Amino acid sequence: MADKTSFQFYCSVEREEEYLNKMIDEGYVIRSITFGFIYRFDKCEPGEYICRTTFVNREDHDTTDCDKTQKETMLEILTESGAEIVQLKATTTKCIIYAVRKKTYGEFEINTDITSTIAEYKRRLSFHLCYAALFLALGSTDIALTVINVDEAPVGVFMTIGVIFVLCSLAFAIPTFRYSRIIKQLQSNNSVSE
Amino acid sequence: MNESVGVLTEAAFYILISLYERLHGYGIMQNVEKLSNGRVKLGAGTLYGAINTLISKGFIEEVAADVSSRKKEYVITPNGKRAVITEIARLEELAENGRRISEAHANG
Repeated sequence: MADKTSFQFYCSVEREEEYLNKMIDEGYVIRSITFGFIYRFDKCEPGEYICRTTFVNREDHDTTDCDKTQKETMLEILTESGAEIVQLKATTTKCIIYAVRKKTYGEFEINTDITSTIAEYKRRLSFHLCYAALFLALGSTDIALTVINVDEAPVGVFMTIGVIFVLCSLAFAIPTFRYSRIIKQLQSNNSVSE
Repeated sequence: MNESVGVLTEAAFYILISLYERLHGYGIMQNVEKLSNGRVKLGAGTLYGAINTLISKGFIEEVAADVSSRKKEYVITPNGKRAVITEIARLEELAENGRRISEAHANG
C-alpha cells in the first residue's frame, strides 16, 4: 500500500520530473504511475533520491527488434549504476523510462554530453509534436461535426469535447518551442565545444 | 580530418579504448571514470547512444557473454582500433601545433 497517492496530469515530462523531485524533497519517492495521472509514493528521507526520465524511441535504431534489445541495454546500464526503474511508460513509438537513484551514489544524470542531450530533446520534441497533432486532429474533427451538424449530432457535447482536445493539443505543443530553442542552442554550442 | 572515420567525441574515444578488453555497459562507465581520474562520467543515455553509434560504424561489436550472465558485453573491432590510432594522431597534431604556437607567443 502506497504512503501517498496524488492525482496530477502533466503534458510535459520535464514538468513531471520536476514534480517527482519536489515530492522527493518532501519525503516521498515515486513508486508507480497508473493511467498517466495516478501517482503513488512511498515515504523516504527528504532528498534521499534523484528522479530522472528519459525517452527511448525507434528512430535511433534500424529495426524494431533492435529497439527492444537496446531498450533493455539502457535499462541494464541504469540498474547496474544503482538506479531503480520505477516505471516504463510505452507510447506508440516511444518508451519513457522513469528511474530513481539514491543521492549517496552521487550525481545522477542520464545524458552527460551534448550529442546525447540533443538526441534526448529531439525524442521529446517528436513525442510532443505527435500528440499535439493527434489531439488537434481529434478536436478539429469534433468541432467540424458541430459546424456541419452531421446526423443531428449533439452539438454541445461535440463542441465541448472538441475544445478540450484542442486545448490538450496546445498543452502538448507549448513545450515544443522550448525544446526547439534548446536543440538549436546545443547544436550551436556543439560546433565549438563538446 | 579522416573522411572514413571522422573525429571521435571524448566519450566515444574513451569507450573505444576501454573496449580493448571486453566489458559490459556499467563496466565501461566505471573504466572511463577511472581512466579519466573521475573527470569523465558517462550517463546511461550517453553510453547507450555512443554504443549504438559505435556498433553501427563497425567500431565495436557485441560478444556473447558468459552463460551465467545475462549482461551484454562489447569489444573493439579492427576498424575501431584503426579509428583509435587515427584519433591519437589527430590529437597529437592538435597538441603539437597548440603547444608550438602558444609557446612562441607566450611572452608576446
